[in-house]
Amino acid sequence: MDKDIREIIISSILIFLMVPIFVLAYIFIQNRRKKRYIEEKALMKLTFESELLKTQLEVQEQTMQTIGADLHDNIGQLLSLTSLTLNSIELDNEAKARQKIDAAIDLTVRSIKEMRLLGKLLQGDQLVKLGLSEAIRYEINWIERSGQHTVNYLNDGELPAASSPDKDLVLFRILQEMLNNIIKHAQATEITIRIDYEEGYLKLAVSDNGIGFDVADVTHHDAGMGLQNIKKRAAIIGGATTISSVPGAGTCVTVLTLYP
Amino acid sequence: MLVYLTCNTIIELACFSFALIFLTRDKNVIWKLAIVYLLITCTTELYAIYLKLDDKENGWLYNISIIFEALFISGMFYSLFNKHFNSKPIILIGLALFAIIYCWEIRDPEIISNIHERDGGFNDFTNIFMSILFAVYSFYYFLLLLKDDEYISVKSSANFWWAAGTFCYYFGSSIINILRIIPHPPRYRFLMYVLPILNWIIYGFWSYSFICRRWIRTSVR
Repeated sequence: MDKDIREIIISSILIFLMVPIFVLAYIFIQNRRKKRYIEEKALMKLTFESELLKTQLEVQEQTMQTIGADLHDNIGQLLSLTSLTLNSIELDNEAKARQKIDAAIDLTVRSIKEMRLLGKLLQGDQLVKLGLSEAIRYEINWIERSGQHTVNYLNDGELPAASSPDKDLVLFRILQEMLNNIIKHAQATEITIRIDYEEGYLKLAVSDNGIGFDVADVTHHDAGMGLQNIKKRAAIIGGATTISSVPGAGTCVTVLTLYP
Repeated sequence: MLVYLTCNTIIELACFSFALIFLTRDKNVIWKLAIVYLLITCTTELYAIYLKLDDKENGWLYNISIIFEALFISGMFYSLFNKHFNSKPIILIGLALFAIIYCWEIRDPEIISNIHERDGGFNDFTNIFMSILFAVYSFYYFLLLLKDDEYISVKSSANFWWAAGTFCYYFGSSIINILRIIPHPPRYRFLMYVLPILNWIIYGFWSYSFICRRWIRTSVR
């Protein structure tokens, strides 16, 4: 009996002495885990910020390319034509001169309009600050001007008033990459951009009627760099990318993300 | 003279020296009060030995020092908890309960002697209550640390080491204190080693926490 009591007492004392050791060990382990988690979070934030900066630079670069092309192909041509028209004026023939001056005025007005549009585009990522929808409309406007593509824009579900400028910028860049891919490789005539917003999720889908490709084949080669970029970009805003394409039957790229 | 240097007094005097060296210039009043508290503890311990050598009762002396112990430890927890929430109510409730049990035990000293022969008139019930209360406070402090989004650098956290020492001591000693009041308390030889070990743990951890306080102060500067 005395032996039993002695064992109970020794066990309870040992338990009471061991519990603090286990508690302290548990706190050590949890604290280390917390530290690792915080460090990983900080690293992810840093990666996100650097990707965001890269995206910003790419959007600006794309804008500069568009401006360069427009100055050369559009405004440059209009001003050359204006110069030619003004040079060809014969002051002796007043009626014909009037006609040419009117034509020159018309060309100048068109140049001014073009310049104004360029001015807005020059604002670069400022465009995204107007809202994702507005930025997409500007992008569509520039694509349609080439006359090679018909763009359908479908916007289902009102986007929330409180947007996320960072996400907007990344999504806008993803859209630019998708459109670049279509223009460069798809040989498409029709592009459909669709934005659906439902229950906190935003779905951006871009499809075309181009030549399509074998998804498995392209994503395994360097040729799929653009698509890899899209996937990587979507991942940094916590989005998922779906690429579906059939050779000869067009392509559809979808990005689904929490929004805002 | 050597009779005064016991296992307990050595570590208490060492801890008091650490407090004197590392906390004298501390800007936090509660931490600075650790010097005063440890001075009281060392004086009590040495005077208790003197009384014992003189064959006099020393329980009354511990009953006085327990008040300072309750006040200082509660003050420290108030300071630790305040970083997470307004801890004034729970600390005051704890102190009020302590005061009630203390007065009740002082007024009715037979409460325990009815169970068994009292150990030199020491307030055992109050001591058990205090042990449980501070063990719960320490445990709650660790829960707050776990819940907190920020992580602490354990190696240099004075608060953590102070609470760790307090937790080990009061949690471990609560069983010893309970064993003292049960009818026919066991008189095993190993029991007399447990409290000195716990004393070494608490004052060792506290001494390290005082060093951490100094690190914090010098690194901030």
